[in-house]
Amino acid sequence: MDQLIQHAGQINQQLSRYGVKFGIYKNGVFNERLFPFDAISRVITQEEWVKLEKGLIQRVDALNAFLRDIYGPKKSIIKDNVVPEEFVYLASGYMPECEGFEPPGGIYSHISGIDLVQDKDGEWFVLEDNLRVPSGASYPLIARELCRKCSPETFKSSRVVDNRNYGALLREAMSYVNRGGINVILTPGRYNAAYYEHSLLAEMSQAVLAEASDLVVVDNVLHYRSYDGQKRVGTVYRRISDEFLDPLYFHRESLIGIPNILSAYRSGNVALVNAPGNGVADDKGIYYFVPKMVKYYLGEEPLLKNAPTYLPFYEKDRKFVLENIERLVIKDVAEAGGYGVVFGSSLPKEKLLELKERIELEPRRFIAQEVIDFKDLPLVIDGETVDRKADFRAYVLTSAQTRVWPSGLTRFSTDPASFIVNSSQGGGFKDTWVLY
Amino acid sequence: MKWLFFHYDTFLEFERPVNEHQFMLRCMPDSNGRQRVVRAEVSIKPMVPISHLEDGFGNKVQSGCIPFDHTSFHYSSDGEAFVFENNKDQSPLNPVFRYPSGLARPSQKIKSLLESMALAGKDDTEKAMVIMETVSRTLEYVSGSTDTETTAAQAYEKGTGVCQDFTHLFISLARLAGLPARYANGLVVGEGASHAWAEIYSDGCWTGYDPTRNTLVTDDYLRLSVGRDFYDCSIERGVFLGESGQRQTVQIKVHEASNVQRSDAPQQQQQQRQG
Repeated sequence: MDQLIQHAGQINQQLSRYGVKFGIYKNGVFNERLFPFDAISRVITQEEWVKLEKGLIQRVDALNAFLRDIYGPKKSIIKDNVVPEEFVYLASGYMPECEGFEPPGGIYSHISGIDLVQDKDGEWFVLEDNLRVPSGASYPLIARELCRKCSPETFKSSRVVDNRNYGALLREAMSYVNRGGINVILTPGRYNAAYYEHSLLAEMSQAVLAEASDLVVVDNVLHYRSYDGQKRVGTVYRRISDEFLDPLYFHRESLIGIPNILSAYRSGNVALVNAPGNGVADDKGIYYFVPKMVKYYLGEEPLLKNAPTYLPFYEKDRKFVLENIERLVIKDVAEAGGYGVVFGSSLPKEKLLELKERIELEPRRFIAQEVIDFKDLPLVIDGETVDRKADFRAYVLTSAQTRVWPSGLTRFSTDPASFIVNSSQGGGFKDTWVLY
Repeated sequence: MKWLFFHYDTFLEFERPVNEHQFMLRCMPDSNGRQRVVRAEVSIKPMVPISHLEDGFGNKVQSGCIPFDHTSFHYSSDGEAFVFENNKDQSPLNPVFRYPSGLARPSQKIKSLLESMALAGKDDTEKAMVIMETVSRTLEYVSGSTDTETTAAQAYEKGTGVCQDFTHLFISLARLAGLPARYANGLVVGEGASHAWAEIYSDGCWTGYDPTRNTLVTDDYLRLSVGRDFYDCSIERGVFLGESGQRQTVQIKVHEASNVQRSDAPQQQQQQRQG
């Protein structure tokens, strides 16, 4: 590891040369910035990984079962009063356009990004499920590649599981549901901040990288237009969000979508990876119910815990939240223009009162969580090793079976006081080593 | 029960040639508890293959692509259907119809309007009747006073609208009152434009209410589609390459088999509007 720390400067230089950047919207302005790499890897032991892996597979399988149930005719989890109806139908990611059709293989979330943190005792908690277009897998891929070049000995002497199989896993996820034709990765284009990731993943998974203008639906079948003619497309791994997928179904003014792609999808002529409509399952309000889904659909005890969460929707929880608001994190689950995430401890008295009133007025709109005391990870800032908060995104891929990529994205915050390790809040990333 | 013959016809003319024209139509009625379609055909010009599918609300959809230059697009549906008098459709309830949707989202004023109605102690049907009467009294029918993007809140603010606006306001109020409500689009005997009305779910079935005419739906109404609001039910949507103005001519004929009457005076409109 010391070897790598010495090379950290070079690795960051290489990353900027490759254009490994992060794009963020702040106050309505789009900014791109480099995503700094820290050379001290997060290390996960084999024993710990095996447990984590099982829990992640279980969670993603339950989430896929939930999506099949909600968009299918039964909706049994609602009828059995496990998930209250309004949490499903008021979720901004619920799309009635997706009712009455089951995607190939019954898989909705082929590529899931599950965000976790580890507390001081080493226990893992899931903070968020990302089942729409989880990004970021390219960061650990490229960082590992550069580290391997800088210090090949490190990977000879340490028992680190090779993470170069991501392309193969991705390819399998696409090919398993393919409806006949080539696999395509749909990118919004070269000006998108994640374009580098899209092109890298296309190369690694042997898929064709396409923009919307390269794709056209004719006779209800999707085709890729290239210089040497048209090719049928069987799977689209789309890196654009649901709303921009098809202007005939969603945003009429959308220019980046593919008109009638949803018709072709609903006719079973092309697979969409991930399926549209997944936002209902990774909604902030639905999150509370995921451990219940594991029990309901799989009949198993959930192996991974949620951060302790309260739903003011339930009277008992509401009372608790109002009494303990100073030490909780409050998240607004409203569709748009929400209040975001606030720490009760950071609010002045009058703001706190205002928030309490809002919660009483619209209890369904909020969730409240205990602040988890994350385990800090060491990183190097200006030559000094310091401890900072970090989270971890695991990539879970579903084809015939669900598998976890033995790597992942560890993000840290450079601000010692911050508990928010979102890339858009400043901070960087580390490689994650899974040991064998 | 009525045996209805229907013919729906739209002619779109473009000022300049357009290409790669992707279209999606909802111009065909389907069989259900309230109507049985015995014959239905859709045809388009230029002739290209049409794909038939169902959308998320169970509506029949016809999609396709005209991949070459053209200056007009003509589509029509034609057929016969029996419409029952019972005004009941047993299709299952998607709970989404209990919740606000884009064009029918309630404003504070719409909430106050609901509060001003005496609904306490009334059953679902009575509530729906009160809401229907209120909407028909509240809005004045003025054709051309609103457009396809007008919301229930905007129409209420203006005090005027067409059938789409009457229906949106009705749906918005009904959902607030706890009645699952959906938008219905279709054709009515003797009318030269498509019409919109609402359906309320109660006692295991959908019942049609026409707030524009302040009446329950009869066997004169042939339904083409249902959805959360107008946006889910548009008869035609299209995207094409090329910048061009367009002009639309719609012809609709719906008549009883035994009573053949024609109302085929063509209507010319810039944008497709409803009665």
